[in-house]
Amino acid sequence: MKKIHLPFWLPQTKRALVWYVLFILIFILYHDFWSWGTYQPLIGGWLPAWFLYDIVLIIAYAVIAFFFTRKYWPKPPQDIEEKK
Amino acid sequence: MPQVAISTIILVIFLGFFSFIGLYGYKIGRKTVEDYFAADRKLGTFVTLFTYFATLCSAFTFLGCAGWGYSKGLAWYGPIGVATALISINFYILGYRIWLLGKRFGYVSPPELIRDRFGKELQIIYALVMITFVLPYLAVQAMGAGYALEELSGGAVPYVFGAAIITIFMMFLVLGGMRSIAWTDTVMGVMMLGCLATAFVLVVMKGGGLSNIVAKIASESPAHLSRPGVGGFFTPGIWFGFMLLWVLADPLMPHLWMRMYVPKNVNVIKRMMVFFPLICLVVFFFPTWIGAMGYTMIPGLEGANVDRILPLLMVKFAPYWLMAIILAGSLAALISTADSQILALGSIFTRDIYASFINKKATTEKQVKMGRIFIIILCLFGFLIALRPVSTLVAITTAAFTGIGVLYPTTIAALYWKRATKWGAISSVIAGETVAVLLIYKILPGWLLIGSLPILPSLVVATLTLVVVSYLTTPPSPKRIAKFFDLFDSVFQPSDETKKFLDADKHRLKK
Repeated sequence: MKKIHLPFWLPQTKRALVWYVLFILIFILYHDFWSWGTYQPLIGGWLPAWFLYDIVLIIAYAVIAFFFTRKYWPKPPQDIEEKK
Repeated sequence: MPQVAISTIILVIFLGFFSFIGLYGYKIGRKTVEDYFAADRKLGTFVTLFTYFATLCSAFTFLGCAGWGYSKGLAWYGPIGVATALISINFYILGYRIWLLGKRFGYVSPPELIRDRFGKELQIIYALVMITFVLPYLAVQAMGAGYALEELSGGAVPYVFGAAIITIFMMFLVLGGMRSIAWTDTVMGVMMLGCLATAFVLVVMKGGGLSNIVAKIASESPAHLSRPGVGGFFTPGIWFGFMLLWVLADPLMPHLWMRMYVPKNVNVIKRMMVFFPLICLVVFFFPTWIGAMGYTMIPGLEGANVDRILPLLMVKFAPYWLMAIILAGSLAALISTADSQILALGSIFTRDIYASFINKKATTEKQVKMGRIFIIILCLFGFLIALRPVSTLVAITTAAFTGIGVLYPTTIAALYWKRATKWGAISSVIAGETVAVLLIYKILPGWLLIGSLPILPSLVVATLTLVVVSYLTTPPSPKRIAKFFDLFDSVFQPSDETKKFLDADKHRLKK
């Protein structure tokens, strides 16, 4: 069967596809236009809920990044890693 | 003790301490180009992370962010806090590949890398674009220094004199090279975080607590608490535009690009990808809130004066010694960016103009010497631009980022797309920059912005031009492609033989 070469900007493997989806999801969730126009409810009496959402979004991104660097990030060639 | 004496003592301690670190870095450094411009590629996680963060956070973060919190409200946290955190995706997309190439081929400036993929013509274009757009951004730091010292001294140190003092100090600091800068950046980064947190706590306490302040903002100007911000400023297009601007332009700023050459191993970049967003979460929280809270405490600031809200709040609320320390924190923010910008531009002048075109046989010692001379000239240029501030810190910064962000498609093509040609890349940069400049100066009609920022149409034009012209011109030679992509293929796409080996190994382990 002929091997299909995907353009470089598309995920080349199923593993890569999972990470693509997760990161793109974070970028989409940044555009939370559904909660615009209000600052209610105020969490703890002072923090607008949308602001807490932004904080949680950043933390979620960092968690995804953590697992990405552990599970997906390919190793450099040995000569580069060991270069002093 | 008189107030001027207090601020003078704090300033002398501040400048003296960082000069000492700078001098120590200068003393232990070797006179090689890689050591001077890339700290011999031996920096660890903490220093690399903090030098990246301190370099990114400038006068704009400390003063400009508070200014926009004041004029636009808390909504500013999305485009500045969240969108800046998201640039960390580039530690993998760009950073890892740039680091690999730097280690293998010894690059220290961004255009050097571009030269080996697209040729000398694009090297010089990259160099010119970076110099053109970073110089005004450098002036932003001198402007910030002028404001901070003016407030710090209660007007005794005029704006021009303050900008001059810091310019001379930076010159001194940069002579020690990347190592000195990275170390001072690390200390300055920590100091900056501490000062912003202290300023935040102080304003909250003096304002009667967060709940009271928020209730007051809600009654006086509720738009300060919700999106799309005051005056409906952050339309969906602007919201998206800012994300695009930071995510695409930040990592290509030459002073940040150069930080991808310095990590000692890959684990440093991996950790940066995780921890950088968390630092952004904290660091942009404080100035945005300080600005928004300041609206109810010192109303009536307009135009470029909104950038003065943080110093004004400190003058109003803090005891003099504390105010002086916090304003020294704003100096730390802008110096840590400006010294890195100067070093980056110095490396571009040295490696991409002097050593590539003027004196091709220059020894490394000669290059380092010339780099230092260029640096002194650049400092003076930045100072001259700052003498006549024409716009707010945010406006100048946004324009600078737009110009640099246009380089993103070409840089991605250099690292990922084998079919991209020299002419495709050259025409992409020229077309994109032309559109960016015409939009920034409002020569092209506003509807072309599609409700967003100039970066969006400029990127569309740059990307389309790159693709169309690349397909219309002869593909690059296999030799040129092999230089980068043999390395990349060995890392990202194991050969069939390697795959077979790995499969066999997996099979063996299963058994």
